[in-house]
Amino acid sequence: MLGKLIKHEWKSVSRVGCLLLGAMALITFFGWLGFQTPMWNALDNGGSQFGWLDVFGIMTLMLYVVMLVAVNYGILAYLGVHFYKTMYADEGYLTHTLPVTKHQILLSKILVSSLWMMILILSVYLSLVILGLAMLTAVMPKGYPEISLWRDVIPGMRDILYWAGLELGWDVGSWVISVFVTSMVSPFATVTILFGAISIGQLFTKFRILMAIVTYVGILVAQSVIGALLRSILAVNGSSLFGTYMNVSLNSNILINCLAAVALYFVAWYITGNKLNME
Amino acid sequence: MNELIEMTGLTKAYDTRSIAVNNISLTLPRGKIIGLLGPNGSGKTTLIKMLNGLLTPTRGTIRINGQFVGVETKSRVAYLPDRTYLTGNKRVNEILDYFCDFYADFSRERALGMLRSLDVDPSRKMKTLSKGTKEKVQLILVMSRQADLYLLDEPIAGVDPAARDYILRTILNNYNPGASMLISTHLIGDIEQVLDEVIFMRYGHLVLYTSVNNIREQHGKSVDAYFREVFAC
Repeated sequence: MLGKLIKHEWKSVSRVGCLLLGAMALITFFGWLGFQTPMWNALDNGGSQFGWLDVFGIMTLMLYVVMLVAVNYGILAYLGVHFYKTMYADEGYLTHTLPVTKHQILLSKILVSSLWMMILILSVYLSLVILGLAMLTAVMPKGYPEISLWRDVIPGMRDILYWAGLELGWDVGSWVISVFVTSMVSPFATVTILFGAISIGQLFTKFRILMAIVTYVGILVAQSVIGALLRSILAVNGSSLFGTYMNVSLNSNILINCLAAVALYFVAWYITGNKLNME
Repeated sequence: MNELIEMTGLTKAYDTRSIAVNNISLTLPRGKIIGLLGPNGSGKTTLIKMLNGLLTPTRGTIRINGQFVGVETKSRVAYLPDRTYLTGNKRVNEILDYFCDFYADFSRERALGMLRSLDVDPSRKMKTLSKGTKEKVQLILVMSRQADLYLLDEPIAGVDPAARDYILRTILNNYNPGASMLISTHLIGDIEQVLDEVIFMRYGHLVLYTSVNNIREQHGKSVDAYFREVFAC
């Protein structure tokens, strides 16, 4: 039954997911367009031209940043609303009368929503890479071959990270691995925490949506406070170098996120199994 | 075993002052169409929701087919809620797929036959259908199952008399004779003809559980007339 639930959930979420991917492609195109204005081409000669096209370019880049944030929060908001509608509003009457377990319902929703978040995050990374390349291409001196760009930039980046690691006590390798793990784990944790908060909101007899939002904000604040405490404890224990702080910070965030997600999964499971009150 | 539903000390309190269902103990048999009757706020919907697992009882137990409410009972109970629970973005065909996937006792052919008789194109999206047609589609989905228990919450409320006739005809023509059906309504006159037994509820309490014949023989009245007498303001 879990497979069937995932199949139908995927169908249900993918419509908006694809729409947001399309939006990402469109805003990436506009971001790329922002780097095609004369101002950027003039930079390689040390010149400074600034015309109405450049104003358009700057505006487009600002719009890109705003849209990027909107898409990121948009998917989270959509997933929250979708979960609420299919679990605790009218559509929940169908969901909770299906002959499936509460674990199956929750897992299907968490897996599908997390996968869509992950896809969106990867599309954001891809968009940023495309824009970075567009910027490099725009400011590259005329006649400078693209192959040389790769030959110069990649070793240069490697050197920067190596020296930063040495100077700041920053284990860049493990930091990159942590970033990768965070990117993989955080969609699951974020979605589970959100769904847990929405489920807690259902325990209230009135203002359930408001209470779900308040609970979610409360959990985020609590996570920040616990994270800050953890980092300060580790810093007091001699890990005050910037690099160590970076590694500890990311790892402690992953740990706190995962613990909160596991706890809230079981809270949601308990509420749907023992405290369900469809009104 | 002729008992289908066993409720013992069933209570649902939303808070200390609002007790929707109060200490109901009742055993309902198989093969009967039972009217769950009472004025608004008498606890009919709450009782049906507890039988479905949509509400958790504050106290008491429910057994359907000898099992507590859960995955097993849900696979044998067909439920028509008092609202539209189907998403507007889905096509009727997709909803049929959904029911086929989750309910082993769902007959797609029977559902398509009923949709054809209503001239509902299965490729249409739910949101393009009128309110009355949506309700009929929901009823078709429920009655296309070979369930042990049908729970219909206000199936004829808010529809025109012609639609009421259609709904009652659909219920009678597609009802699995080995199953029981619990129909909640306050439009007794329209539904009385199909009922075998009735449950009267008031303020969450069980007032009466008897057969329709018994009411007619003992009181010389129709269920509707007797209901008006019992619940006279």
